[in-house]
Amino acid sequence: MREWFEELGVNCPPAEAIQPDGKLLYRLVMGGQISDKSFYSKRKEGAKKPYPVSECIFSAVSLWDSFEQAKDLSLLPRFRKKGAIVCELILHNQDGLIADTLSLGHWSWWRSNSFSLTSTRLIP
Amino acid sequence: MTQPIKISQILVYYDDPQVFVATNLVGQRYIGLLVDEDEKQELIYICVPVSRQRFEDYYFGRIDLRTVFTYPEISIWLIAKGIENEWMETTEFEGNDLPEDYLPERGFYHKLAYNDRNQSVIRDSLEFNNVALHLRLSNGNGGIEMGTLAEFSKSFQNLVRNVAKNVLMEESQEFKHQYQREENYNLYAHSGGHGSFVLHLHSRSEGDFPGNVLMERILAIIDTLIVKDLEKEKVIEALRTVKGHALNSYKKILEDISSSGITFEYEWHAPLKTKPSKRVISTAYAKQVNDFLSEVEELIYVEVSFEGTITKIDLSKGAWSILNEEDEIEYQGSANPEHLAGIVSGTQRYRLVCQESIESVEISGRETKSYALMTISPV
Repeated sequence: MREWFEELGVNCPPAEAIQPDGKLLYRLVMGGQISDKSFYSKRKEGAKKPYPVSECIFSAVSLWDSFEQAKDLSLLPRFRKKGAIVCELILHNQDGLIADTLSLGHWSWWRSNSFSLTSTRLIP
Repeated sequence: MTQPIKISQILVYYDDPQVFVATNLVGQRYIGLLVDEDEKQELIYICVPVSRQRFEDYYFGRIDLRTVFTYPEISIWLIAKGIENEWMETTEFEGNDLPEDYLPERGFYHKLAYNDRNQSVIRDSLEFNNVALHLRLSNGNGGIEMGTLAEFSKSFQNLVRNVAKNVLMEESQEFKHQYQREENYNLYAHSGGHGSFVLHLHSRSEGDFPGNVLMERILAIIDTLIVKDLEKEKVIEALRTVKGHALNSYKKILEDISSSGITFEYEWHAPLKTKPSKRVISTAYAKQVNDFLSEVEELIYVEVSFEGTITKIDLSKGAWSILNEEDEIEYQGSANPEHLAGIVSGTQRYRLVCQESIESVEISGRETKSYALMTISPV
């Protein structure tokens, strides 16, 4: 039985979440270094949930399915200041579940305890 | 001076809303951009008022996000801090120009997944900030009879309503309580187009993010029902995904299309959808699917049960009435008179298992139900 990295609510992950099956996804990593915290949800970081976002989405890690969209994010002021670099990761079935949510190319990832940083690499 | 604004759409999400659309109390639209967070992890947004034209220029990728903020239509920017509440308080930014820290670099455009030149249904969904649907009827004769238009409109609304009931049946009590109001599955006409007739409709369905709007789920189910490939197995597999009254509503639409020679099509879009969805049912398609449907008609029937005391019984007509204890409503139905032999009205409680069918009423368009008794047993 899969163990989740953080406590998830009822019906979370949602029924439409799928196994990643080796999917290649992208995330922005701050400060140029990959660490475990690079893959924390905002809930895990202790942030306050924004009103329109569901608890389930807030407990997920945001990923993009294209390098270009992840790179585009680094144009935004939030990421310009923080030396954000695109990180590529390959998610396997034991790493949790994913669902495409909220906008084009965006995926929410509910991380399991089995996820390892060895599946990641920075793309400068 | 502060004024509250409320997020109506998230355009870019990444761990937090990065770019959103918000409105104030009088409906003025703003585009908001996440610029930073403070020491208490409160998110800080800069917001700029936009006209419908400016918003569409950004949404359809004609201008980038930096232009939206550096060349505002009105040089007023608002600072919004923290978005935990439905309404965010804002303060006016003091300064003639935004600092570079608050701006995106050049080249950040809103992304659309397609190059569809027909943006009418997309514009409608943005305008109403909800699902928009365009329903088109065409018969090659340059006009649709009023009665035919009314009939198809009612039939499609009935299909939507019955799919909604199927969806709600599978959901939690909390979800049902929140979304069972008719507003969440009714469609409202706001205009029409000429040529072959196009009815412009929109939804007032509620929903929280991410796109969990009941009407979107309903239309997605109807999309899967109308398969493009007329291979029998695929059609029947699609029909099996929608049972009971919803399938009966679909059957009525197919029968009407077959008999009228009309081509029926719709296209719909929702604010967070990547591209519009379109389906077409021609007369030939309708006839073929109806033939397949006749082989799986058992899918149309819905079994219901009642428990309570019989209030009326008429052996000669094969008619009965029962006061159902669960909802305290009296239901009437028909039966083979042989099944009613020995049944008494009064104090004896019975359990009835019936086949529920829906019949459309031509004038009002509202559906009435009939019940045919299958089994009856004393409780």
